[in-house]
Amino acid sequence: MYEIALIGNPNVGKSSLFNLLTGENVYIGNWPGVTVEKKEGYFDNNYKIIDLPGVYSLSTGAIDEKVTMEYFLKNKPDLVVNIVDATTLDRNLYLTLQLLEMGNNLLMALNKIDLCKLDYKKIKELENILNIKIVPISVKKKVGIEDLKKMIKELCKNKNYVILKYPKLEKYIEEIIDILKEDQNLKEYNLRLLAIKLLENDDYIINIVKDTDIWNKLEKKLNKINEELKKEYNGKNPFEVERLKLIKKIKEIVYDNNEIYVEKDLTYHIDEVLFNGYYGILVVVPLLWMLFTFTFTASKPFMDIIETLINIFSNFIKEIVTNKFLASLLADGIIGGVGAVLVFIPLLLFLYIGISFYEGTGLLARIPILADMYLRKFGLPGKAIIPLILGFGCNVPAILAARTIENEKDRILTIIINPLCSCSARLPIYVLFASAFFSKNQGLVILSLYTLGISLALILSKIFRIVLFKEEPEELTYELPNYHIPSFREIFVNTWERIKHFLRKAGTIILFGSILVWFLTVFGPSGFLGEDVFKNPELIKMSFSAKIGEFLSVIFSPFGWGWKETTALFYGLMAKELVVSSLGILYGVSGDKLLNILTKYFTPVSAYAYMVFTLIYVPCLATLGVIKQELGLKWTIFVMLYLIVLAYFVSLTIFIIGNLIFC
Amino acid sequence: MTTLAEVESGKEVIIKEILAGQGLRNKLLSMGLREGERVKVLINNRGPIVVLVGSCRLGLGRGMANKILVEELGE
Ligand SMILES: Nc1nc2c(ncn2[C@@H]2O[C@H](COP(=O)(O)OP(=O)(O)O)[C@@H](O)[C@H]2O)c(=O)[nH]1
Ligand SMILES: [Mg+2]
Repeated sequence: MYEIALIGNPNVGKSSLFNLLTGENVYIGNWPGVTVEKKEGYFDNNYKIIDLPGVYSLSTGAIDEKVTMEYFLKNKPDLVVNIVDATTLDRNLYLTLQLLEMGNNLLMALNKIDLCKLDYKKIKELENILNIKIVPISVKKKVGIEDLKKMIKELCKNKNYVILKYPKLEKYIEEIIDILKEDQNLKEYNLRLLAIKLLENDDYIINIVKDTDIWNKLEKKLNKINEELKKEYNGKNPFEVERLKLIKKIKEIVYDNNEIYVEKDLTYHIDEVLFNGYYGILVVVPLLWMLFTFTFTASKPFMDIIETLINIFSNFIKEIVTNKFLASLLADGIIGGVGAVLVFIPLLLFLYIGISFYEGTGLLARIPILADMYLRKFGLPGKAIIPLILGFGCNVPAILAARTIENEKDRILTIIINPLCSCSARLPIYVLFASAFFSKNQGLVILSLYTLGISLALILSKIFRIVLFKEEPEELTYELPNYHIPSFREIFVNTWERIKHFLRKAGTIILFGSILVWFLTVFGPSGFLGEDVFKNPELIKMSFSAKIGEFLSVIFSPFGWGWKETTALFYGLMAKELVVSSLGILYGVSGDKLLNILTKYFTPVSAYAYMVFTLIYVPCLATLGVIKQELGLKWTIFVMLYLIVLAYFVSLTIFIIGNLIFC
Repeated sequence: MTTLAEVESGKEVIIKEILAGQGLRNKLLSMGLREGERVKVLINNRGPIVVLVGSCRLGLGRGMANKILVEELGE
């Protein structure tokens, strides 16, 4: 088995090539410790291809870059396939040179040759200068792919390690490597790459060697070398200077980019409207609306079907299993829990199709740039726009959509404020209370809750940005691909893999959470209560969940909410829409009767406070599940805690002020 | 010499200096925004700026464009 690393700048056609080489043989996971996607695939069984995140250079700023750097620090692939965009060769060469500096068996795949005239003599010259093999291809037109495969196999067998050396810098690299060699702990690392990055003063790399025994010696040496280099290179990064010099030389010999000039094509005209500065953002609003509607409307019938099937199945189980306990465990606990996971599949399916479509058209790179002007004021990156909007439908896909944010801190911030975007599952609660208490101003009351949610989200992100993250959201520079019609095959392969990942990671949490809630409902201190507990207010009173509600209701006594109202909140943890149905069960009524009975237990002010509380307090289990999948346990707990505290204080404030005004 | 943010749409400029820390500088360099490089400002209204570097379009926030010093090329 040979290991092949596929690397290149963003937008060079790396994904397209990867899919072409591997076909359906793809596995998507995460890189260890981070949520950057890790794609692996095979071709001809014997060749394993690793798709590294697209990067412009080997550095350690963004998380994608760290992943790529870590890979090269700790792995020695049999072959590195560097995919390069023929239309922007000189830019792409920066990364190529870095790959050669550290020493690699490297093959260059020169892509998009359908877009430019090729001079094969010049390609030969470039091959000679860099001492590597170059295969011109066009992934789009499927040109040269067989040649590429043949060359990959050839180079895996007969390796041609190339080390690019800059005469003026080589002796320093060697001096550093000599010191690094002394430390056994660094054995697994690519020492040459470490040495180069140390000479470039890369903080991330310095941290790797800082704790080793050789650090003292190393630091002295580095300081001395830096002194010398500073004089020689006028304080500039010497590697940067050498790379640019070599690129310039290559450009003179093999490459003239005079003829590539994109003039006023369709992309230009669309961009002119979009980036107008006045009405550009107006174009974005319908685009976001389309994405939102597509995701949630298209998935709705499928979610309904899954729900119905799950109901039929669980009723069927209840009929054939005679043991009451077993029947309830299977039907309400396990099947109900599986159902709670499965209903997300259509949602994620359509979300990913929608997002990939936007990505494919070239819009996904542009929308954030426009949103950035506005969101930056609140400490959020431009790319937070899509999670923020999707959050009004469901926080689960919204949080997953935050994956496109490369900067780790920006991504965390975007995720932790997302639960404040009021998802559609909270609407039934608002509708119920608004129609019971504010029948004249229903619309206004409901709108006020959505506004409150998004305002809190923006205010808190500003606060978290200042208190927790301390630095500004990353400045944006995006490559803007041409607008075009996306390919659907890639969309489907990737979508299915991502859904599998969700089922494995977040799915298990949701399933176990559902079973736990089931257990707390059908069991009480007196033991198994029978499945009628779901219909009988007298029985549910004896369950563990009612006891928990009773216990917690002390906290809510200022609002005048009792154990029933508190227990309903507890069920809201499972899924927010359950607040309504569990209030019905707890009061033992439904429909219009529920509206009437609510007025006995709530005043308009305490009802409004209750709505505000359900808006803010802990997101549902599924949302917590994806937060854990995306950010880990620590942040999940943080989100739960801050939301509970916030919910309590905001609703209490509203309650007090409301009572002062209206009573 | 002006900053990229002040160049009108349609003008071509040469990048003179990038006033940014090592990290940002490296990012711009590797994306093709290099000192001495000729770029064309495609769109610069009130919003983000779109420039053409070689054959590729880059979108920049205005904050970023303020850190890039350029010299305008005559017709
Ligand atoms: N004209 C042309 N376009 C290509 C070719 N290969 C990829 N593309 C396009 O380049 C864009 C980026 O491709 P993608 O595979 O997503 O690149 P990645 O960002 O490197 O993964 C897409 O719009 C592709 O359709 C090619 O050989 N010729
Ligand atoms: Mg890609």
